[in-house]
Order: sequence, then structure tokens, then C-alpha cells
Amino acid sequence: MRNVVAALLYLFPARFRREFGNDMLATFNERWREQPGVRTAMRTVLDLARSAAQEHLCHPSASSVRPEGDKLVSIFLQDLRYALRTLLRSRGFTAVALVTLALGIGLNTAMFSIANAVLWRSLPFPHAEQLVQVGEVDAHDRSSYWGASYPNLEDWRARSTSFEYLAGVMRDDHILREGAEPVHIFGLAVSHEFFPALGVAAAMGRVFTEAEDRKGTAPVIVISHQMWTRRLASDPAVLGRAIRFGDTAYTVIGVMPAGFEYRRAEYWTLLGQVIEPHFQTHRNVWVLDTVARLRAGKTPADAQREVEAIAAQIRRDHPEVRRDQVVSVTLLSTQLSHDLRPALLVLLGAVGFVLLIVCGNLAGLMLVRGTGRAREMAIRTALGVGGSRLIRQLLTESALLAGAGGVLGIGLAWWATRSISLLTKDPRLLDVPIDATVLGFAAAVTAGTTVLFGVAPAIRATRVDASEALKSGARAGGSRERGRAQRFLVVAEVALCLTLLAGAGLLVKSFRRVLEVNPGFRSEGLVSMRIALPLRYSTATAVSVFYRQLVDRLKAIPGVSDATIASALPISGGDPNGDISIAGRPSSAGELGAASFRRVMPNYFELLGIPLVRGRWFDERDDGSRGRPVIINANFARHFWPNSDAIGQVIRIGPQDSNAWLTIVGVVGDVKQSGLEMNSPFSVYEPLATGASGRFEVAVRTAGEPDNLLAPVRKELRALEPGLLVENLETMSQRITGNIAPRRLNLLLFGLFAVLALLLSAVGLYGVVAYAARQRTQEFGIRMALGAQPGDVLRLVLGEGLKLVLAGVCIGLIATLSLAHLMTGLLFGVAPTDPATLAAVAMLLAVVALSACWLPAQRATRIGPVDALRSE
Amino acid sequence: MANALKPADFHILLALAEGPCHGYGIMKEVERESNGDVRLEIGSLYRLLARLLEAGWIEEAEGDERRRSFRLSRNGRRVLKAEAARLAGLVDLVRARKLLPESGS
Repeated sequence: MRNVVAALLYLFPARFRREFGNDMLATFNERWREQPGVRTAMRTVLDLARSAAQEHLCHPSASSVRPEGDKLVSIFLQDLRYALRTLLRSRGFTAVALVTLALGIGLNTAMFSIANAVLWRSLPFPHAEQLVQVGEVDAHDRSSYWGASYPNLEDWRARSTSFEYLAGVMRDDHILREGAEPVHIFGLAVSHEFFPALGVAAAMGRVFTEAEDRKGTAPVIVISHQMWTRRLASDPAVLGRAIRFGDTAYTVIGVMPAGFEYRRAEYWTLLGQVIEPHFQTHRNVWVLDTVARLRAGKTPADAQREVEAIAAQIRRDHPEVRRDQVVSVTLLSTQLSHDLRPALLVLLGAVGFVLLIVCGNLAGLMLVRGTGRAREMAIRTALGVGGSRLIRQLLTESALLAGAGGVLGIGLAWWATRSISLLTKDPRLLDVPIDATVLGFAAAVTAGTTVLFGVAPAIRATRVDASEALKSGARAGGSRERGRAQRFLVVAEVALCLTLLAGAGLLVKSFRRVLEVNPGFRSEGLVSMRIALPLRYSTATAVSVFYRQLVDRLKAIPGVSDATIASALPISGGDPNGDISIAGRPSSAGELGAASFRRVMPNYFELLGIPLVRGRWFDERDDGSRGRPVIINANFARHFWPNSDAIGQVIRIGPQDSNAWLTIVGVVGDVKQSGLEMNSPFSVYEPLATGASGRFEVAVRTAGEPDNLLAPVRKELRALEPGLLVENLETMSQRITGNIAPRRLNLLLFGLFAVLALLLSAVGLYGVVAYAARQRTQEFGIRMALGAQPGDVLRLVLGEGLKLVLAGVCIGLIATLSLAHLMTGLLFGVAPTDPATLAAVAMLLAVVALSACWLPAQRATRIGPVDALRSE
Repeated sequence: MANALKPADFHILLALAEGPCHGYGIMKEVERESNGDVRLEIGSLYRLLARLLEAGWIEEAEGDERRRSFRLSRNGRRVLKAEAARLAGLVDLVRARKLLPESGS
């Protein structure tokens, strides 16, 4: 903001700025320190612009004495003053131009600042361009990222020469019970190379050593500055303090500097200490992410070639390793934002289109103004003012307009990037600075805009035949040529607008398709929550007893018909999964694919409304004492036993050397386990009683309004066990809404841009048709005097508009068809060239456009012949 | 001196009647004494200060090196007093017409 004010000071006359500039900045700094915020920013910017203008107008003498002695500068100042006066005189035009420019430049600046912060700004680590992520991806679909297994990572590290550091990273979240309430906080388990790889040292204490990175060493933890200040009250004696997670006490050995941020982790534990032992030996579990620093001079491609060769050797040495994967080495900065990239780029394109439409509209307005000022230009030409001087004068006007629009636009962008928190919770989108790069972009856009909407009209406006213009009174010569330019602009605007509308239409349709997806269970009347038990429930028996009590207490709440517990409910994601093996069907690891598994209570299926296809549900006797019964989903059964019965078949989910064989007793309907947009692959359910755990999810069914249950459920949970950590207590429809939030945000923003484009184009079209109709007033008058009916005139004017709209729609359709594939990644269940959508938006655009023509057409029919003839 | 002062000018002069003050102090004082009716952002503030300096109603006071302070000149104090007297006269007139409650009684 300070930079903005400093830049705005250049609007003032140099003398004034020299005298008061520093003072004004100092004063602003003080004010900003006490009252930062959108209001202060807007007020200051507007006030600076206004007072700078007044200062120029009130003291023309100050600059016309030519203190600089520089002719060019004084000409420029003269132009500027003249432009300012002209613009202030036609306030309506100036206001319309400023608002549309501010919108166009503001939206572009806002989108750019987000894209810049998320996609292009380098990570805040030294030599961030050397940071990469190494991992295995699906050989057939490289966008499907698997990660790395612990032994593979060890081998890559030991045998490769491309990396200075190669660190494994694993999610490691815990429940912190330091304060009054337990809190669920997120951290990462990392190898000791992690901090050296990022090139960041601890602010207090130290980071991990290699010697600590193994089982059997004393547990240590490094915490973030935020965790130190927010969770541990900035304890000055924090180093050496013990933090308990579960039954392990970790000794704090270091605090990272403020501002050090990686995937929102609040703390870091050592991978070698916390990783489960069986993950250390299995190559077919992709539990790790990686961070690596390339050696100087190595490129990601070098590293990829080298690691791929190592991986091929691993596959030869270990036949159990899955084969349909390849290694991919990508820049870390790309990897941290790859899910947002397609949407951001498409939205950036969309606002670019909006800006082009804005330019089109303004160019149209300038052309009309040019007509009005033809006389002025003619007089000035006749008085001997050169053409280039006139063009410069007109361009100064455009630049002044664009500049003011740009300043307002930056204000708008500033406000927009701060208000986006109303629409999304994604932390990457929340902290978006308006920095020098963004200001540079805004300046470039402003300059580009000036050229786009200012140059052609300026050249055209000055190309008048002086004697003709003066002779013909108010009407200028060359109006036919000017009309052609305007029509071209309108056609272009309509075409751009159609492309945007088509994109919005496709997103709307995708959104509806997502909402129509059958989740596989009845989502209405459900309340869901995630629960973690306090530590004292340490035995399976204690946990099972708690399960029973919890269900009974919840069922006793008035309005609740049933309650159930599962390791995870649908639409939660992050399922544990394992390779499928089938008894009597020998296969190599991973050959048959993987299945996710969850543990559920016997009443789970009935309560959620998941239908039983074959076999039976679990019952109370399935407690692990008599074999291991499982229920699978219909897709699983169809895929592996298309022509026979799955019931009674024996399968195994997980590593091939385990001996945990499971017997299928039932088949249930497919459920969207990890989100509406994900396919339901293969699911396996086990009875909850076979693996009681202190972390689980609860679903409550009601016949009434689930919203009314949230408070009573929370109260009941508190009463039952005050030490419970309850998270995500919400209705199932809220959970589903949260699941599709990113899609909703895309739709909202793109839709907003499309509506804006539609309005702007309609205004532009109205302007051109109205102008053309006014030019033909005389003609209409004569026609009507000769007996033409109002309907004929109406048809004439509408026909003119219709021609433009049709041309625009046709060009727009071609453009849409060639651009549509860019949106493929954002769509769901609809082709990017969906004919129904294209037809619908073309209709919508045609209707709106014709309505915009209707008004001037109506007006034209009401012309009395006499008035018309007198209008000359 | 018969002409009414503009409210913003009057408030700036009034703010400086207390003693020398720097820009931000004037900004806050003006807002406070007008009960928030008059808010001067930096652009307007310094434009007005420049005019008042030019008219010789205020002058620079010794401030610290980072920012300048201003104070009322003798002429400015006279202007302020004249304006205050004019306003007081107006208030008496208003009272006489029974538009405001009598003060002090």
C-alpha cells in the first residue's frame, strides 16, 4: 500500500511533490500503522487522485511558467491539463469509462496476483529452482501421483548422484493436549535431510541430525514459530521441553524462523523414528512424499533419467514391485500448486477476455466522442495544429483515463484479493500480496489498454477533412467509415462474450452433473463427525465399551433414529488401501489393483442406506473370533467374478507376504468413498469389532432436520466424555458441499466474469445500434413520410443489430470450439464442445443482444417525420 | 476578512491553535474536534496546508528531521479569531431566534 501511495504522489505537480512528498508519505505511514484496511486505502487513493487533479487545475500558472525549461515536458503538461479539463467536462463519459476500466484492470490484476503468488512466485527458500519432488507416477496416467516407498527412497538416495539432499516426507498429525481443549494439529515426519534440502536453519536450537534418524533414539521434534507462539505461549524455555503426542514424549530441539512455511505443518518429527516398521521394508506402499535439492548443474530431466534407471534395477531385483509405474522428477513449486493450475490459468484467460471487451466498449465510446468532436479537431487542424500533436493530445486523454482506471483497479484488486477468504478456505489463496510484480503487471495492462482503446480512435478522429467537417455542421464526415469500425468492435465483443458464456455454461453443467451423482447412500437426514478418544482408552475393550455407550447415548437424543461408528464415512477421502490378492488366482504384486478398506458397525449399511446386493450384512457375532468375514462393493464383485458368485471367495488386501485372508460374506452397492467426483473403485468393509481404534467417525440418522441435531449431539458428547476431540461435526450435506467447494469457487468466479462480459457487450451493442439509428433519423423520417409503418423501421434497426449479433455468435462459436479443450480438466461429465450448452448460451446471448437493440429500435419508430427532417 | 472560512481550513487552523503539530496530528485532531464530520486524507490535507502556507496563515515550526511541523502565524491567529467571532455572532443570532437552548442557565 505504501508503494501505491508513493506512486500516486507522481500525479501531483513536481513542485508540490518536492515540497510535501516525503511528509505526505510519513503521515500516511503513521495513519496506516494505526488504521490499516480497505476503507483507509480506498479513501486515501481517491483523495490523492482528486486533490492531485485540483492541484493541477487551480495552479496552471505553476507549470506554465515552464520551470523545467523543457519543451516536451511542458507540452505534455499542457496536454495533461487539457485532457483533465475535457474529461471533467463530460462527466458521464468519464464515469462510465472509469468504472469499466477499473473493473477490467482490477479483475485482471487480482487474478494475476493470485496466479503469481500460487503458480509463479518462487518458493521462499534459497535457490528454490533447485528444489524438486521425486516420486512414482502411474505409467499410463502421469497425473496420477503415487509417491515413494521408504526402501525405494533409500535406494534412490544411496545410488544416485543428482541430488545434494533427498528427503522423505510423511503426514504425521497428532492431538495436542497442552491447553484446556485438545486440538488436532498437522505436522510432517521428515528425514534429517529435509531442512538442509530446503536450506533453512533453526531460529532457536537446531534441526535433526543423521544419527537421530532411526528407531531406538530419543524422540525429538522441531516446531514452527507459529506453534511456539500460538500453542506454547512463546515459552522462553521451550528448548528441551517435552511435548506429548499419544503416549510418546518428544523433546523440542529447535524452533524454525517465523515465516518458514511448508505445507502448513506446525511441527516436524523424524521419519526414521516414527514410521511404522513394516513401511520401512515394503516397496508397494507409497507412504512418502519427497523433497530433494538437485546438485548444482543438474536438471530435473537428468535426475529423472538417473532415478528411472535405478528404479528399473529395483524392479529387476524385487519381482514383487509393481511394474506399471515410472519415476517423475518435477519442480517442487509446480508440484505444490498443480491442483490449482488449470483453474487459475483458465480464469486468467477469462478476465483477459473481459478486459478485451472493456477495451472494445471504450474504443466504441471514443469513436462516438470523436464524431462529436470532429468540429473541434477540424478547427484546430485549420489553425495549424499538426496531426501528430492532435493524436498525442487524444492519447494523453486515453492514458489519463486508463491511468486513473488503473489506480482504481489496483484498489479493486487489493480489495478482491482480501475478500477471497469469503469464498475459499484454501490457505494458498488467502495470503496474496499486491507486490512490485503485481503493480508492474497492472501498469503494463493499463498501458496495453490505452493502446488498445485509444490509438485507433485517436488516429481516426484526426483524419478529418477540415473544410468538410466545418461545412457539415455537427455531423462529421467519414461517419460511414467510423460506423464500420464500431460494427467490427461489436462483433468482436459478441464473439468474446460467447466464448466466456460457453465456458461458464460448461462449468454450470459440470456442477449440476456433480450434484446429480448418486453417492451410493442416502445423504439426507445425516449428521457426521470425526472423533478422537483421550489416551486413557488404551485397550481394545475400553474402546469397544465406549463405542457401545456412545451409540446408546446418541440414540437417546430425541429425533435420532440410529447412530453408527466406522473407521471412515463416505466422502472423506484419504482411505488406507492395499493390493488385492485372490485365493486360487496367483498374481504378482499390484497386478489386480488396490482396494480401500474401512471398518464398520453391523448397522452401518442400513443406517446409511447402502443396499445389500447379495449375501448378508455383518452381525454382532462377527467379532473376529470366527475367521475374518468381509463385505465388498458391487464393482469389486462384478470385476473379479463377472459370471460367478463372489460370496465365499477368499481374498487378501495388503502385502503379499501377510497371511490375513478374508472371506467374502456380502456384496453391497457402490459408494463414493472419497468424493462425488471420484470413481468408486474397489472397497472392502470389515467389522469394526475386529480393530477397535480411538480415532473414528460417527454418523447419526434423523427423520427430522439434521441441522437441529448439531447442538444436542455436541452437548451429549461433552457430557459423555469431556476429553473427546470432536471435529467436523456437520450434516452430511455440509460435508458434500465442502467436498465440492473448489468447483463451486471456479464456477462462481468464471460465472461472474461471464455475466460481466454479457453486460458489457450488451451495453456496447446498445451504444452502436442507438448511434447508428440516430445517424439515420433523417432517412427514417423520409421513409415514414413516404408511408413506411413503424414495424418496418423497427425491422430495419433490429435487422442491423441482428446481423452484428449473428456474425459475433458465429465467430464466437468457432473460437469456442478451438479453445474448449483448455477447459477439459475443469469439467465433469460434459464434453468441452457440448452442443446443448453451446446452443443454450448462443440463444441467451442472442436474446440479451436483441433486447439491447430493442430500445433504440423502438425509439426510432417514434420519430415524427417532421422532427426527423428538422433534425438536420 | 468578512468572508467565511471553509470548514476544513477553519478546522486546520483550530487544530493548530493548541500549538505546533505535524501532519498526522492535524489529521487526527481535525477528525476529533469535528466529531468525525471532517476527515482529511493526506492528499487534501497537504493541498490545504500548501494554500494556508502560501496565504501566510500558518508557518513551519521546528520539527524533527523526519517530518515537518506547522504552527499558526500571527496573521493566522487573527483570521481564526475573526472567524470564531463571526461564528459566535451567528450563534447569538440563532439563540435570539430561540433555535437553540440558552447556555449556562
